[in-house]
Amino acid sequence: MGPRAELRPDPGPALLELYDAALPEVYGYLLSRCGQRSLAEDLTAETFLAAVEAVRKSPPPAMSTAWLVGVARHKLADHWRRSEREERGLRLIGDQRPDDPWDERLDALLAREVLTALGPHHRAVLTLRYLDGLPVSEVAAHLGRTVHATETLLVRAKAAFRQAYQRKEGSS
Amino acid sequence: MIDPFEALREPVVPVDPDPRFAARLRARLERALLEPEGATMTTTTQTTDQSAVDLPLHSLTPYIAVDDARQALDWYVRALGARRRGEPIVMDDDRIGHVELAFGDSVLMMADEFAEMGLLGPKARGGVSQSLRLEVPDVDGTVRRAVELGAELERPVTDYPYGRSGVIIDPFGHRWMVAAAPSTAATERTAPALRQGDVAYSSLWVPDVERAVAFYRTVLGWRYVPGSEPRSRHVEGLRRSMGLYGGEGHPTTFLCFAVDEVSAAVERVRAAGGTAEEPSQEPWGLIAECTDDQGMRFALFEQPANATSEIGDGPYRQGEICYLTIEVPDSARARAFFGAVLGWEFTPGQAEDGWGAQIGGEEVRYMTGLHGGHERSTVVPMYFVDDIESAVERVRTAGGTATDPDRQPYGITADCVDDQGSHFYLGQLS
Repeated sequence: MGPRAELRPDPGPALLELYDAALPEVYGYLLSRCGQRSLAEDLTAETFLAAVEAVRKSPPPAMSTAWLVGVARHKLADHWRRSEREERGLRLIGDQRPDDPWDERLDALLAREVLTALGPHHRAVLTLRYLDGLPVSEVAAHLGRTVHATETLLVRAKAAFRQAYQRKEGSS
Repeated sequence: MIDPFEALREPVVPVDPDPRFAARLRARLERALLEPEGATMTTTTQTTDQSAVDLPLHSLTPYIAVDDARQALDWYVRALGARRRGEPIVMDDDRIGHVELAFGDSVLMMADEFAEMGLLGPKARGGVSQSLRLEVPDVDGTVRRAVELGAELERPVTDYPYGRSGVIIDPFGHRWMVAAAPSTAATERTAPALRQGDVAYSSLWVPDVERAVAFYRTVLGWRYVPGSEPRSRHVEGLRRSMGLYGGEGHPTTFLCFAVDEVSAAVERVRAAGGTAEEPSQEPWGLIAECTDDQGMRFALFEQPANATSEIGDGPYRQGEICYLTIEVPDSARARAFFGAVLGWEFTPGQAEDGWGAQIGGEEVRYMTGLHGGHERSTVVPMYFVDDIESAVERVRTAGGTATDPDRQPYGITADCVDDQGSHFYLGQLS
């Protein structure tokens, strides 16, 4: 390490200082989106360890809870990508009518249940777009797809969601 | 109109995690912040080192003397791809009294020279009295790198009937026969490793995963662990990785084939008229999802360089796949496609338009056949059972159908359909 590195303020203590306040936010974000305690814990740990690497970059990112939640979102998207591969879950929902408006008030509880039963890629795109309220371009960046491909995926995901939702509604 | 999906919007609600988890993670962060830069995310490096430490010793382990163990450590890591296995034991006089390296699945022990005990390296003795034989994935690359880093080339890399190999003398005087043994040699020595074209993973695609779980538990005794989704399961205790996946309209078995280099294989898929996604790096290797030119979905898998997936040797066990039939519309097209992509060769089978798939004159593992003339592509597994009479009874009890067991030249089989319409065979193979 050269003298320049020694002059750089050590961001480590700042991250630890942020830890207590940010932990419930990061964990709460991940738990509500993945619904499994152990998975939320793993992804939380990944988030903070990634933060350790990130704060050493020059210049370091502006450290905040919102920034950490953003890191968590990346970790969650990575996780879904992994499971999507693992499950070979890529299937197309046949016969979509993308422009058919669906005029219905969603029952939030039922909707969450339906969401957890969808394949990882559908779940990922719907969560980022609607639960997190990200614009399509940002969703695309998280998923490593083009905007066009993300829009297509979104249409399919909504069709899949709607099909599952209506089935569930009918059965309950 | 308001998009009804907007109702899903969910702001972040803070949740306190388990305090023990919170404390553990804080401790981890504190340690990570103390570590040098780049050390935090080195999950792979750590696993590699851990895998070196965890290696069990084989019956025979070479223990060599070198004239500079510190340099030798570095050199074996850089030139021959060795992994460090624990810290060296340093004696009072600063000589290294003992140190271990992992090469692939084997351990090498090493120490500085201890002339007072008669332990001298080859240079002091005027030559070696033994050679070390090392199997590597890329024999040309390894030998080239070793020579660049100061080894003496005794015999250039050449093809021999027993495999491709070369011989080097390392800077400490030890003689290495660096070889890429043909897969047959590996087969005889240990459980077979995955070759290009073998099935690395298979997943049974079914309409309803819960029903399939119950059916195959009853019929084959499968045990399961949850997958990462409610509709997926991993079948436990089989010697080759297998899963169940629900929500599929067309029941089939999804196959993931091993390849030497996934990027090259993806090109072959495209050149042969199929489609392939870009490969993606997964914890267990590189994966690319593909579709053949007749619409069959499959995947390609490249295992990490230092991993050796073994695929189970010896007699079949209850519940394992012992044969796969790939039913296709046009067998000539399928033969051309899988020949080009996986290097499969075909021999005519007993059935009309049936073809046995081979790799370098040996059966594909699992043993696989192609059968033409079907409406669409479907992979039909045959499961090995110890007692076919009672297995057929269990199929019928569980709501499936089965023909009466029928004696074939290779064993007794029954043609079955499960309670959701998946076609399979049972085989009590001799």
